[in-house]
Amino acid sequence: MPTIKLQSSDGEIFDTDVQIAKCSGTIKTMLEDLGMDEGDDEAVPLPNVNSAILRKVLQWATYHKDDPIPVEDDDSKEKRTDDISSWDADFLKVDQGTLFELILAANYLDIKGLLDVTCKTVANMIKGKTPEEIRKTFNIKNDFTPSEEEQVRKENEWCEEK
Amino acid sequence: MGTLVTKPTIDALPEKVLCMIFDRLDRDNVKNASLTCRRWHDIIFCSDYINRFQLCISFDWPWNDAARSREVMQKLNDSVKHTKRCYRKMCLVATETTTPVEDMQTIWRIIHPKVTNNLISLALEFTWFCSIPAMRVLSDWVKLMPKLQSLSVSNYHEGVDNYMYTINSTTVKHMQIAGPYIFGFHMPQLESFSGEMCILGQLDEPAKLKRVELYSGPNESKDRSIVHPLAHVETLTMFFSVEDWLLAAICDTCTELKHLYVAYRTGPLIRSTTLKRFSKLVNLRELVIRSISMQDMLPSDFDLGLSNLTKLELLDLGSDALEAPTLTRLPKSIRSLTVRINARNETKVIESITNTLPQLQKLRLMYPEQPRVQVAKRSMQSLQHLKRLEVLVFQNAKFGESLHLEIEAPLQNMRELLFVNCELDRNRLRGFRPIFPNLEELQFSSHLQIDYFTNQFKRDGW
Repeated sequence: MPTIKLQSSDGEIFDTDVQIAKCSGTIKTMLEDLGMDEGDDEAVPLPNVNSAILRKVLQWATYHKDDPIPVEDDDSKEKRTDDISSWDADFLKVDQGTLFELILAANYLDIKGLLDVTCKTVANMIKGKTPEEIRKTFNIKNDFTPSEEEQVRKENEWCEEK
Repeated sequence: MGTLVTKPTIDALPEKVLCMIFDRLDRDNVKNASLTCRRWHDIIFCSDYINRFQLCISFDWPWNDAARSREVMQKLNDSVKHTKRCYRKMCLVATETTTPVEDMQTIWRIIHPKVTNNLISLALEFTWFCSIPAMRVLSDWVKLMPKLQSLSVSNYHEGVDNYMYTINSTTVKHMQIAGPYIFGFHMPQLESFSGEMCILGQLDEPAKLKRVELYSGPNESKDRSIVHPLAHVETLTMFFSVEDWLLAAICDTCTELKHLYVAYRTGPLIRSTTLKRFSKLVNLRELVIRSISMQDMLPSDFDLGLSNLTKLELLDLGSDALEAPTLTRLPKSIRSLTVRINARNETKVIESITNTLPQLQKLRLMYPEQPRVQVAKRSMQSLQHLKRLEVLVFQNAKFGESLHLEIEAPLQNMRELLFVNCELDRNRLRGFRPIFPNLEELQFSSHLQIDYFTNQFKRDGW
């Protein structure tokens, strides 16, 4: 199996199957644009991903390497959040900091499936909560003045989905 | 030397990712999210994300409740006066009230120009008894909305109001209007129209009109000038019974038509000379008519003369007028064809198709419902010449021996095989696999939509 080297922000080198690395749109483009080949000794630098997160990302990508290519989102389709597989749910039982690092890495590396499932996980943490409960969950500072918050509340009454 | 590694919080997520998360939440959960902090609020309501929502003003108080009216208007005023939001869509909904003109004027004073300047879409959903003030308001409002592109009015007055409204807009591109009101409209940018034909007749500058959906035909008059606004239309869909004179007028006038659909269950009587006028529509890509009944007996050598429609890809004429003389002269551009078959012409029709259109990708053979016609073995065998065929639909057909196919080479491209309301012994299909090695779908169903081969009707839920 051909491999390439990926280098995390803290300098660790990961020998990775090309097929697995290419589930990242960013790495795929880099390999194509830079004409980097399998077996090249040069490592692909990933300055935005540390070794702990890169290890997790590769673990996810290895498990999902045979998944079908995700289809483009259909706008009319209802976006579900209750369809996370049990493996993914277990994989994402991590502290919030790690979850957000995974999201940032999936976003930077352009791994649609991982970004999708992590966003669903965050959406599930918001669902059914009051604004105060959401703030508490994510440690968000309420920077509204009381009158601003009241204004948002009032305006929301006139807001409908199109 | 120890470095303090701080784990990111949710604040580290970029706007694009937060929008993906909000996408997964329903309206009420997003509203709660918008109340957590300024950043989330601004992403949801002050960026392009606001396109998911509209400002919706509902009148739901009894018509004579002045106190309630004042209270709602005050609330609306409090909400909109200091808003940072830039809604692009607005709807007015009235279900319970006559919506006095004064209320509408109050609304206008509140929303103009702060809201109205940004609107690209306006929808009015009124019960019929609100329609008179609504139409007055519409004619006053629309011309003052500098970005408005889409206007929709539903469920309004069934009767005729004496007041003539003229709606002016130099920006509106899409208009949808339900109801037979007669009024003028001046919309030089209009590209698409959906509504009644008698209203369309009032459009004075139809130069850019390309897509039209009509839900009813002209009133009593048979004035051919009613089709003039359709002169440059490229896609025309009609959901009513199109009479002979109107079909003739459309064929004579709308020479830029690329897509023509008539989706009405029972067609009126059409003369064979009118059918021949389709040959004038040389730009046609798709011609689908759900049902046509012929007024006169067709001579056995009747040729519709479609050979010069060299761009035609999809043909369903809704009648059995497509016989061998027409079929053998069909343009080679056709990829998708529906034909009606009867006991008299079956083999001849199918052989004409297989000889003339070897490039055909989709074929639907409609047999009469009563009395049943058994598919001839010879017909089945001639179908093997359609090497490019991907979809084959048999409708109302009866199979006996013909299901035993002796085919020389497998049909490699065939993806879907459908038996709609057919009589057949499914056990006989067991030997089908080698004949259709790439078959993805084998279906037995009781009915098939007219739109099976085209997407045109899908978005209307037709």
